[in-house]
Amino acid sequence: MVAMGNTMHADFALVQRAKAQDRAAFNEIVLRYKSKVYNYIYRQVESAADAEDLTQETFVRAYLSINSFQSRASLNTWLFRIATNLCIDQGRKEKRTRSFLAPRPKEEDNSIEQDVPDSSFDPQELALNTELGVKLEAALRALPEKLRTVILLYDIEGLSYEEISAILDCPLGTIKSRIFNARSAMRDKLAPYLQSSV
Amino acid sequence: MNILNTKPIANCNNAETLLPQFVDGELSARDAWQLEKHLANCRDCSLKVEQLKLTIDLLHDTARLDTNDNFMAKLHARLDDIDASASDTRTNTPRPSLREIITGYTRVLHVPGVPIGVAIGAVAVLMVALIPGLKTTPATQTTAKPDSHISTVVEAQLAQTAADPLGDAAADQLVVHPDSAVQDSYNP
Ligand SMILES: [Zn+2]
Repeated sequence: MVAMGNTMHADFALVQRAKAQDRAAFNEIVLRYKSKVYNYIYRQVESAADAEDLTQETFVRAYLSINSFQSRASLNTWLFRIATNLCIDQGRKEKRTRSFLAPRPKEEDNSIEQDVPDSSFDPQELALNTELGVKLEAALRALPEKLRTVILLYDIEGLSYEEISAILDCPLGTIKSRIFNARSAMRDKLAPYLQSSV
Repeated sequence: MNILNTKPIANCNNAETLLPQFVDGELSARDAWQLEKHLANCRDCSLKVEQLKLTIDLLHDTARLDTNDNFMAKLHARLDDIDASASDTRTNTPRPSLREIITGYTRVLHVPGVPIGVAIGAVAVLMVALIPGLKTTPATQTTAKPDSHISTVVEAQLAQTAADPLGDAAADQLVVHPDSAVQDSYNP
């Protein structure tokens, strides 16, 4: 909690400087958050190149709208909100493109049986050479967007229920149940590969 | 039998509803005790809990990724473009470009073998080009906010030139107000 307080305090100072057009301060903000944002976006889009582009776009938008950033929000929440909106837009674009090319299972379909990743997705890039790691990444990608978003934010990026609720403009209860549904879906998909002691 | 007089978890469905809080350690002591009692007797549910915990551990341990090496350079190039094209609505701070320009001028003046007359001429040209900014460039004045890091008007003029290197704002102003600028700036 103390560490979090210090982070927010340092973020606040950086934001104040960035609002006064201090590029060095903005640079520091990017250095602090770029890997978190990239790590999140990478698992939302279809290729590393897309992830790189959307991460750039996230910080460009942050740069352009830093003056509208309300200091009572956390920088973390704000940046993830920008990133999430970009991912949702990108998802819609990809869906539209796909619908011209080939039929695909509906995004709303809660089944994750169809977990074959797109050919442009290379799990080797994740340095996860284990079978389980590859299965996990594929299962994440096969989740419906709403479930994937909450599980990425909560279990992988470590945000709180409250932060995710603010990012997605959803009630806490909705966030909690989505997280549980997402975790259950992941478990069901991974169950055959899990070494259980029970 | 039920010593705490709480509703026993009669079936797997009841157990299931408590799992989210159970795996996050958020269940009340009483509910946790009830659930554990059920788990001790139900292999299906205890397997589900075990697998759920393993899944969550896996998620927590996923590989962390980072951007390409050229990410920052690419981003700052884009931000430079934004600054350059948004001078109407936003104050520019083209500090890196400003530094480049100053370094560029300094380099010219320090090239060994450049005749001293050329160096003096360069200084004179530079001064004449810059000084009009002191009194005759309202556009430049509005560009530099009082709280910005550009501390002097001459630097602001340089910044303007840096933001618009092809426009050569300083030279334009020299043509418009050459005399007043020189008189004002050399007034002892
Ligand atoms: Zn059971």
